[in-house]
Amino acid sequence: MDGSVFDAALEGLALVFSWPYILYPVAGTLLAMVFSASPGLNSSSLMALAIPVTYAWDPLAVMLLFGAFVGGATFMGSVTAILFNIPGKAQNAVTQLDGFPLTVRGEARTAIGCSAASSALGSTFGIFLLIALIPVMRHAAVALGPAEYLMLAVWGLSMLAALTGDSVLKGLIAAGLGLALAMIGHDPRTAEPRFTLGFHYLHDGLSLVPVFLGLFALAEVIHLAAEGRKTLSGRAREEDLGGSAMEGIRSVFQHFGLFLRSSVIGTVIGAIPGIGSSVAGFVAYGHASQSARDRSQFGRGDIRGVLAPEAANDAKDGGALVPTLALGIPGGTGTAVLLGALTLHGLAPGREMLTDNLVLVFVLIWSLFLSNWITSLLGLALVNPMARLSTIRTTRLLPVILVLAVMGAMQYRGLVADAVCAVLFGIFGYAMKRSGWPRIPLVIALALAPTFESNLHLTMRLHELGRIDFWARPVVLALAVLTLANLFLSPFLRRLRAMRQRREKQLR
Amino acid sequence: MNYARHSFLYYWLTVLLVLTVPASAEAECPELAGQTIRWIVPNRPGGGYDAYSRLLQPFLEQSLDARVRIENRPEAGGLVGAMAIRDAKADGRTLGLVNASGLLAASLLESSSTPDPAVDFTVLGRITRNHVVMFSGRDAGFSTIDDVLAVAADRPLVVAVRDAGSVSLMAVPIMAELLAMDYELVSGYVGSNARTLALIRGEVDIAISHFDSVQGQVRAGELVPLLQLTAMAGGEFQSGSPYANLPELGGAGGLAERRAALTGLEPVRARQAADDLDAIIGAGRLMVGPRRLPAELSACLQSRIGDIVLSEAFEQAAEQARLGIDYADSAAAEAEILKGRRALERFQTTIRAAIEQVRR
Repeated sequence: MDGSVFDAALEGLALVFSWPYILYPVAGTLLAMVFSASPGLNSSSLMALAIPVTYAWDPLAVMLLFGAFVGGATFMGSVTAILFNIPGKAQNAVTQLDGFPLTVRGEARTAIGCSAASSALGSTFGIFLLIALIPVMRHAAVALGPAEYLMLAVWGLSMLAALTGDSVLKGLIAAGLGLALAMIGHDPRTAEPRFTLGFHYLHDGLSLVPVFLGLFALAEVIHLAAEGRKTLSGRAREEDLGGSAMEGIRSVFQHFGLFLRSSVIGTVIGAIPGIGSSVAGFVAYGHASQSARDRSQFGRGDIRGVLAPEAANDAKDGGALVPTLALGIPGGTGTAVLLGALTLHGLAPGREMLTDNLVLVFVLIWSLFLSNWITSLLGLALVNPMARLSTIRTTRLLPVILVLAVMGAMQYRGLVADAVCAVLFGIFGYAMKRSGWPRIPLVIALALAPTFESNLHLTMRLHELGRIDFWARPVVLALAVLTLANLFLSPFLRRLRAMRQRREKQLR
Repeated sequence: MNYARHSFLYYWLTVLLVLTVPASAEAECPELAGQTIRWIVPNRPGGGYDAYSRLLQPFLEQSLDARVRIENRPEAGGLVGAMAIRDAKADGRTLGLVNASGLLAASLLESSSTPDPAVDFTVLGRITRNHVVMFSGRDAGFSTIDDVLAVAADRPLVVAVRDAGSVSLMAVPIMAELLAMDYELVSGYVGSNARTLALIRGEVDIAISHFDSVQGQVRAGELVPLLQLTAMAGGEFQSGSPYANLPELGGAGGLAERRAALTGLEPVRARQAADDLDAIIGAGRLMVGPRRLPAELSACLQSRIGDIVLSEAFEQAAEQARLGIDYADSAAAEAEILKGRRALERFQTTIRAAIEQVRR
């Protein structure tokens, strides 16, 4: 990092913590937290609402406020995912896969502690990587293209093998169903509607949030009601709850390698414009499961299933700023609105901004950084009262969760049809759970398939026209090797390890 | 750094000016007073359609004494949003902003559910035309349209488009015919951002985009503007602008006319065809309601919207938000759509050939 970048970083940091400017990120974070913790609301709407209010503000205040909006929105959505199986944002959906089972085990405090720590550290990782990339940001922003996006999706899909649960066949059928459901909607190339059955609702395909809320939140409500469980955690008093926030924080350091790898996954995927915000979490989750020696607890309350997606989700925010700042191309919906706000204030992201307005760039980055830490620290401070919710009687809590889940599905896009979709998938999810069919491969396939399909077409066409050489791209080759390792090497090593353990047992 | 002190002056000035708008309006819309109006935006928050809608929102609320709730419906490239307006009850409580050119393009597909902008809506006015420009990436080696045409003489140009039902796909084959150049389409680049990245990465030679969607990248020198496919609203670009002296496809002395000898068209017919293309892809952003809005209500809404958009307060707010306004009243906007639709019929064979290329 050269001197000018370092000086700008320090000047930006000083401005963020100066009075009265510090009020902007703090207020922005609190607002974003309220919005993102409310199922169905999202920070993009908050930002869109804030744009006209900030027309007359100076660019510094705008950077501070919008940086906080981007950063403050991510973590709180995971709290509702952990406690009630209802993600505040689509990207928090994957956290509920192991977060909620931890709540059911009475370890909500551990899950929230882990989520808060991995969020704060993940965002710090993403932001420092972003700062390190500033001198070569343009190059980094254009280094990956459709071929790399395609292989990233293939790599993600190859992890499904590790998430099939007890029956590989059932897992693969569930994944196949997820891929088939992802085909619903407009063909990305020909624009022809596919499998829409004449419903306008299906023109854009199935939205991940109502499917997720149905398959997991509503299915779980039905399950808990049918089971006659007294409280979510099975404990009636707070003192009986297991785990602690500290245990959750410690788990991040116990699995530090996984944390780092998940943060890298989050940052890289965040830097890819147009890929859904939930993909980073899903790929990180798949990786956590794939790389685990013992993966029997994934989906049943493995803390690594909380750590990996949370680290990736927050690291993603730093990555998403790479194309936004380097080229003026947003990495996601949040950064799209941020970009709109910057443009309205005469700030044109790109080379000019990275040279003439570098201090403002750092103000944005530090505001994002600060807001991520504020949300995590507030989350940690509120662990006990939040965990206490898991001791409330289900007869009182389940109706609330039911209403929140249905409303969350409806509010996500303002469509009643999304609530109907959630209910249908709720019934389907309960049937899957009852009959021992894994639901995770279905949703991961559903989440990754659009990236796979659209980039498969583009890559094939560009290769056919000689505009790219698929096999001469180092990232493509690296991802191909990782995919092959997932498919062949991991099962081989696993079998070898099992054989060794059996032999050791026999010798004993 | 010299940061201006926080000043709410402009904000409050705008609010004050908003309050003065209804005084001039004559028509009353009593049906809507105290009601909530869904304003459907067929695009994501933060995009151009969203920005125009949020700019209109406080003015409409004030003028109609109603609450206007913005609803973003970006699904299926905006088609779902347009369908939601078309299928809503014609009581004035569901209105929105649609892309007339995009709907014209989508109407070429077999899908029968695509709304027809000429018949499926009550047009309340046009807020702006689309200004479409051909771009290349800065590393492609093209400085002018002549460089592009020189390369096109040797090999087909690789062009990024969205999908088979998009404005970008619709415009390219017509433009190529008028410029006598061969092309290969790469479809699947959804959104101008994806096409911009494809240009910057050098995956394609050229792409066409709305001028306002890529202003940042043009200012930053990442994209090189090469040719105006539609006439610029309000005349020429200022000198010093990256678009100043940018050649035009249509009009007198436009590139289509100059290339007529190569295409085998009469110069007059080539110019006419380029102007037809302008009519199709420039049709613009329409403020609409469902078809069969009661005549009185429709007249009232048209009058109110016209008063708002032509007011000084709105002009100032739009200028502050850097949004260009090129208002046309309902009749003029409808006439342009019909013109675009008729022109589209003449190009059907050419466009369908391109659609087939994408589907292969």
